[in-house]
Amino acid sequence: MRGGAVAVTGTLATICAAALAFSAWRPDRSAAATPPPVSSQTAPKGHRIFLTRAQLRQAIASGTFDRPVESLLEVHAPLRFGDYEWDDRGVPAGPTWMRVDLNSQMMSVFRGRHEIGTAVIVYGADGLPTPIGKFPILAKLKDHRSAAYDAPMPFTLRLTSDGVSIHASSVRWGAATHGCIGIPLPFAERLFAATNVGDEVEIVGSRQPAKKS
Amino acid sequence: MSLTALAFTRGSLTSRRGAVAIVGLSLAAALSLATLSNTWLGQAVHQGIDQSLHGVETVAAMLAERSPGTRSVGELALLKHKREAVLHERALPKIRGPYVPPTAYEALASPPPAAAIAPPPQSPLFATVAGPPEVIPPVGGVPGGSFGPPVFSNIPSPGGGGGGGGFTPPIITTVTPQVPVTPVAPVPEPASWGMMLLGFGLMGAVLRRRTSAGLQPAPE
Repeated sequence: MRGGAVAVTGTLATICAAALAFSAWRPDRSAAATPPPVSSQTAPKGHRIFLTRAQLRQAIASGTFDRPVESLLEVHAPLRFGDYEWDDRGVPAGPTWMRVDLNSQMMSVFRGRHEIGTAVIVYGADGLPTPIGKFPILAKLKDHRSAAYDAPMPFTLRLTSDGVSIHASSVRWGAATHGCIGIPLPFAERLFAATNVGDEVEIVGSRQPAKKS
Repeated sequence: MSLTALAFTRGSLTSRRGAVAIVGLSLAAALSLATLSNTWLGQAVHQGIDQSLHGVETVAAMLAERSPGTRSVGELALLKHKREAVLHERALPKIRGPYVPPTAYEALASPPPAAAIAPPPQSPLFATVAGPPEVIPPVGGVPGGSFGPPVFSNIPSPGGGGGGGGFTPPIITTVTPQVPVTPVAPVPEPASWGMMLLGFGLMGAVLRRRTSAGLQPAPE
C-alpha cells in the first residue's frame, strides 16, 4: 500500500507539473503569421504589416488605437522632416480618420481598418499648444490664405472654430506652428483629396499645454 | 542522464521500486520541463513568435520606429509671424492743402522783436528769475548764448519750436504775449453746419412766406 500511495502522489505531482508547464508554455495561437481575412473583396497591396489579434488587442488596451486596425504601412527607417508615405492601393472604401501623435511628430491616415498614409508633422509651439482630443473636420479650404498671419495655407482642413487646422507647411527640423498641424505639401494634397468634412482627427500627446502669460 | 534512467527503468519494471522510480523520473522530467519553459525555452518560443511579426512587439513600437524623435523645447522656431496692425492708406487720395513753405512756420513761431518781449539779459527781473544767462541752455539753436525764440503754448510750433525740448523760460510768463493766432479748422464743425442749415432754413421760410403772401388774392 505504501507503494500505491507513492504512485498516486507521484501521479498527482506529474499532473501538476504538466499543468504548470503548459501554463508557462502557452503559445499564442492568435499570433500566427497568416494575415487576417479582409472584410472586403479587395485586398490592400504594397508593403504592409498586418497586425495580429494580440497586437491589436494590446494597441487598443494601451490606448494607441481606439478602433480596430488591420494593417499598417511598412516603413523601414525613421522618416525625415518633409518625408511621407502614401499607399492606398487595394484598400477598400471606408471612413477616413486620422491620428496625430505630437510626441512622435507623426501623423497616420487610415481608411477603414488600413493605414494609407503617414508623414512627419510640425505642431504648435510651447506657448501656442496644439489642442489634444478628437476633432471632426469642419471645413476644407483648398487655396486658403491666412489673414491673421498673411501666409498661404494650402489644403487646409479646419478642425476648430478658432482656426486650428491641418495644412501644408514647411516641415523642417526645429520648426513649430501657432497651434496648427503642418504637413508636407504633397501629402497635404493627397490628404485633402482623401478626406471629407466630418472625418475624425484624433490628436494625442502627453505634452502639457503651456501656461499663457 | 536519460540513458541511465532508461536502463534503470527497464531493469525494475516489475518491482515496487520500479514504480516509484517511474513516478519520480516523470515528476523530475515534468519539473524540468516546467522550469525550462519558464526560462529560456519559454522566452525562445515567445521571441520566435514575435520575430515572425517583423521583429516588433507592439503597435506603439512600430509607430515609434518611424518617428524622427520628440521635439525639445530649445529647437522651436515659429514658421510665420503674426501680422502687425498697421494703418494702411485708404482708397481716397490724400487731401493736401496748399504748400506752405517752412519759412512761414518759422515766421509763425518766431517771436516779435526781441527788444519788445524779452528784456536784455541785464534786466534785474530776468536775473532774479532765471539766474545767470550762461546757465540757461540755448533755445532754438541760436548760437552765441543769446536767447532763442520764446515758445507759446497756444501757437502751433512745428518742429518742436526749434528743439527747445520743453524748456520754457520763466520770463515768458511775465511778458504779455503776442496776439495768439487762432487756427481755423479746415472742415466746419457740426455746430457750424447746424447754424448754416438753420440759417438757410430760415431764409427759405421767409421767402416762402413772402411768396405765399404775394400770391394771395387781394381783398375785395
